[in-house]
Amino acid sequence: MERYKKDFPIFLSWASKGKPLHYLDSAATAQAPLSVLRAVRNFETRSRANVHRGIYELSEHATEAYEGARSRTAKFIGARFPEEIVFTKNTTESINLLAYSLGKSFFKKGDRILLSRAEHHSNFLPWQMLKEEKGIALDIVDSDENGEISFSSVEAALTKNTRLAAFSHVSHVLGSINPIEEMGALFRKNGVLFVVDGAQSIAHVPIDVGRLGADFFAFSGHKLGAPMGIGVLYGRKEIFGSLEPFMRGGGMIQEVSTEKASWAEMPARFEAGTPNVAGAVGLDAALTYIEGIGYANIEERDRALVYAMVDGLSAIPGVRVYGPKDANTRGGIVSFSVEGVHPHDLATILSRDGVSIRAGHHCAMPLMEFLGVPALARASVWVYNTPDDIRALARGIEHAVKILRT
Amino acid sequence: MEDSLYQNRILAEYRAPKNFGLKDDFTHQAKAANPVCGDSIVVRLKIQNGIVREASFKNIGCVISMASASIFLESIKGRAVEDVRALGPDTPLSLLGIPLTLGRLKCGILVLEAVGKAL
Repeated sequence: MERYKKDFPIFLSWASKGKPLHYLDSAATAQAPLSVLRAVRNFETRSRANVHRGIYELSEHATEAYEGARSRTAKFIGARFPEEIVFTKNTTESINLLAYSLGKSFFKKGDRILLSRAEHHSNFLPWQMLKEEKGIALDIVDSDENGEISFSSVEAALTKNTRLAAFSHVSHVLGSINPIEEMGALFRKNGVLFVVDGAQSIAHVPIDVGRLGADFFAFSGHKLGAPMGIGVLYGRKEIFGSLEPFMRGGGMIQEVSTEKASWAEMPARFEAGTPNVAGAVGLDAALTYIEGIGYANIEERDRALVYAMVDGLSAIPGVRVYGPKDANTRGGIVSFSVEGVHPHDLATILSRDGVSIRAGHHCAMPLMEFLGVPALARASVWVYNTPDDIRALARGIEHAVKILRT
Repeated sequence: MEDSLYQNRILAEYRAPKNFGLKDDFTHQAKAANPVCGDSIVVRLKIQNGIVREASFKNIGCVISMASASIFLESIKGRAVEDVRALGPDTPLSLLGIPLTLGRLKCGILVLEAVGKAL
């Protein structure tokens, strides 16, 4: 088995059943390497206890592991302080937390939020909520015919009342990498808070929140090989530290009386209740795994596979590939349609040969409407994928066409 | 060997669906959608004296949802509204007669949902 593939037990387990797994849905969830699974098991069997509470040795071990994961995450994405990292459940919770907390004290009626039409519902609906609840207006930037959001269209959409901009780093449908750095500089200059949805970028491109100019950066652990149920919200301390908490409960207070309460400093303020410590430990191990491979290596592999995919799929009659044509501006995702073949039928037929792709509207209904399609098929890659997976995809598409057309 | 899911019988319904294309002569109409995939169906029924006289549909959907709509609507023509109302998911699924996985079940019963709403 190929070098990186063998680090992931799921591929060994499928191969041993005689049905090799061609997993092409890492943009939804990446597979977990053995080192992550081991780290989680070691925590559960040796150090499991609640954090920040107990004075006993076990709780101290657990707290060290949890806070160690926080420090590691901070360093990994270039945050200045560990406390700028708040652990959540996933990207969705990160952005909901932020929208709720900003809605409490930051926004006032008439403020405007800048978004793109290509956002995942999780970076759209929390802001739409503020529109309904706070009387805030949303300005929507469209992508061009290649699915790319141009810097000039972002610049043109900026108004003097724009107080926040929320963009995905890499589009989960079109795969396009947005010009986040230029956008960050523009927003900083205009005093606009910048929220970056990093769900699709964190596993593919190196992140430095300072360089990106992001005030907030959200991502999910499960998209980079960590367990499901651990996510991150990075926030620049100067702003994040002034916000109201999202949830109230244990572990997030300064003082409580029957009349009132005051809040702990961040990150504790935003982490009410017992956190997902095993998940944080798994995230720590996943970051170690990625550092071992190196982003330069990941990007090179991505490019080669995406290039092969765009090339291979475009060569099949009736296949239309969406998004940027240039593999250098894609982050491991290729969405496509096959004339006369519904994405669901395609996914079902591919699945029989162990080829796993995503089919549907990808939680981006406003974008689907813009593209004029009810659904698309999406194939996405990560470190374990090989040219053989791409060939299996192309074979499967040809097979599906044979069954369903005529 | 014939495909267990995409059997010739199912593909034939998909390629030449019965009752496809919305008829102007109708008394009841409803739309149903599958939020998971973005598929949707509009069903029109003509009810006279408590009997389903006519049925037609238009949809955006996969082979399974198209075939299911074709077969199911044909099967309720001439039946009493009361009886049709009482039908559960098993009816369109058994009419299809193919093994659907959990993720595809909704494709097979979307037409039933639309008919239920229309009635």
